[in-house]
Amino acid sequence: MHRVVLFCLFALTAAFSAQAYDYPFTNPYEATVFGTLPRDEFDLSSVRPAGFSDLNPLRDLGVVRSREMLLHDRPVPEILWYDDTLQYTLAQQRDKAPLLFILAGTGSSHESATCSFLQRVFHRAGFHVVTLSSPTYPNFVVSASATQVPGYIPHDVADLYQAMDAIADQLGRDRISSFHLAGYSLGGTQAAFLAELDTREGRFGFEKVLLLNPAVNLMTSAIRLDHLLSDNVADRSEAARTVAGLVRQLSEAYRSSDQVNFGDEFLFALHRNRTISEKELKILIGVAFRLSLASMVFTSDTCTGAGYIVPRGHRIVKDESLAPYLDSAVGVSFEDYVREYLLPFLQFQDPAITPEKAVAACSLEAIGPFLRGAEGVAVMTNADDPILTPENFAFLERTFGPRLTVFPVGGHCGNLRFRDNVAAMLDFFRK
Amino acid sequence: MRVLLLVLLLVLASGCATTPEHQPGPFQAPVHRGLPEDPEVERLFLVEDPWEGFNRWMYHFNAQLDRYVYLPVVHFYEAVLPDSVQQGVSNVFNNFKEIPIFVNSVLQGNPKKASVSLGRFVFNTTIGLGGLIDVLGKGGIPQENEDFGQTLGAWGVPPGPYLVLPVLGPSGLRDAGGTAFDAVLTLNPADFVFDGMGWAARGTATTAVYGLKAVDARHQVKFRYYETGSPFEYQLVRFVYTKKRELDIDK
Repeated sequence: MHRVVLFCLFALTAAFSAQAYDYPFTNPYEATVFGTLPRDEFDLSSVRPAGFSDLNPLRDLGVVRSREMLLHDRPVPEILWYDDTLQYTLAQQRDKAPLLFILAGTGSSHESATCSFLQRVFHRAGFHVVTLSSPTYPNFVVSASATQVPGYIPHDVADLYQAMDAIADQLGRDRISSFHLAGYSLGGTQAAFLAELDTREGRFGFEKVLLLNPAVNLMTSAIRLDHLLSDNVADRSEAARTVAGLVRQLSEAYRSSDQVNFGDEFLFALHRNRTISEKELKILIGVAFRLSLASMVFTSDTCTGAGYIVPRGHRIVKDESLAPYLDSAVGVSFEDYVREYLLPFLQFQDPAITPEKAVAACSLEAIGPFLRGAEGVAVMTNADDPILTPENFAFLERTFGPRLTVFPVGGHCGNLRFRDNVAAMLDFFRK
Repeated sequence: MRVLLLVLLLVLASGCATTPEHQPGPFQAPVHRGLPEDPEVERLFLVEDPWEGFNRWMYHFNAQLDRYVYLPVVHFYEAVLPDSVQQGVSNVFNNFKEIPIFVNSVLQGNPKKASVSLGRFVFNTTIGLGGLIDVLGKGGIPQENEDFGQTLGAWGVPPGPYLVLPVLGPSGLRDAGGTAFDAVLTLNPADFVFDGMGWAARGTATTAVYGLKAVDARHQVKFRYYETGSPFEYQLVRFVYTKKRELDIDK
């Protein structure tokens, strides 16, 4: 391991001074699956203690709201009728305030646990906060994507930019004092591209942009996730058996416990009693990625009618079983998706595009010169993030220098709710 | 009841409204993945569902009812009333549910659950001002989860096919029967509070209480249709529902 671990002790005011970084999971796969336990989460009251006004039950009325917006007036496939509008969440201040956009990771929604948590933190810190689903999330594919074919970052970022612009208009630009942006996982990568796009389009003028556990090269990271599955199971029925086995263990634990419901820590409690092996954790991460991919692929194919999963010309009706389509879609790895669907689509649109060009356009290296000079753009990631290669780390160090923070552990996004991490994020946006 | 029918008709009508039909685009994928003859992935997670066509139709219907009628009403209710009042309403209706919970605990020969349920009903009805305050719940004795479907399961009645009920959502043949039985046992304050009133006033008050009960029931259920974001949500919900019922019966 010839990697210099840049673990800066930032934001360490008197309260935290000289404490070691004590995030509990040192295995990156445990960190990725279990995340942050409630007892280790950042304490909201340390931003601003709950005051008397917080006790008034009417105070928060209308503050945090799920919203929806019609971006494209076009027919939606019957079985996806509910995704005609883009869904997002807005937490607003009463007065003029800075606006922070938060972008979700691959296949995640604007209401994912990470999005909601960070939204609460920054709302309390005085920001208007808008959380957006990933362009790989079915609702975004149907409602906000111009092509309805996700995964090509230049297209996805243009869609995000348009949606964010419409949302800022709706909130009222005179109520916004400055614009900020954060994203995790693929959302982090997209945040960097948005910052670059904005220097050309200029509709926001982002002051601060934070990339949390970003993928440097989308293709490289997605293939690493593909391999968590393909390296650990012989075929798909073995993957299904592994997941079924974990479900069985969870069921046993539930049956013999006094708990009435599956709590946040239920999986972790199971893990403490009988360790889930690293191989099982890898399979679990791989299966979760595959399932979110299956939803995305099927949704896109249904919208374009391209005949990749659903036979071309067949219109799915609302009482039709989707079981065969699910079965077909979970067989698609990210590599398959790119080779058999995304690239052919891009070439159909623009015959000049080559696979090499398309893959290169989805890497932070494509905007390296911009990122080197962008003082307001910073990265936080983990030394053991399984989606990054040593070359990726070298690129991040070279490009961001002192604006890169590497935590020693945390896996992929496991420590985003951990107290030290959130304190560092707050410090970055408040400085 | 007439109101409900009217609502159903409205929803059906809105479902038939003409919107331009979705058409496939010009791009055709060079590869068609094909559909397997015999789906294997789901086999380990398979649930008996011979009425899938009807169930999917009903799932779709419920989701539309939720989006266009039920949830807007619930959101309005949540917006105008303080949380404490909403909690009080939920407590009152939940308190009446103790009766079927008690009966089912007895039928299953579970004295511990029966005594918890009886104790909760007695204390919450008296000290808790007619159920308005969940005194024992605050003291760490939450409501037990029992119903007649579980009792039948404990007696060895098989679950029967999966069934999506109108408005109520995921269920099974056995559990649907259980739900009806429990509904008969559940007291409704409308049945005895308004006895002294005139005919018209009583009718209005009764309708209001039923309406409030329906709104509160939806308010208490966290589930939102299509919140998983996956187009395969129907399968997921079917699996999780069936598994959870299986486990609750063993508990």
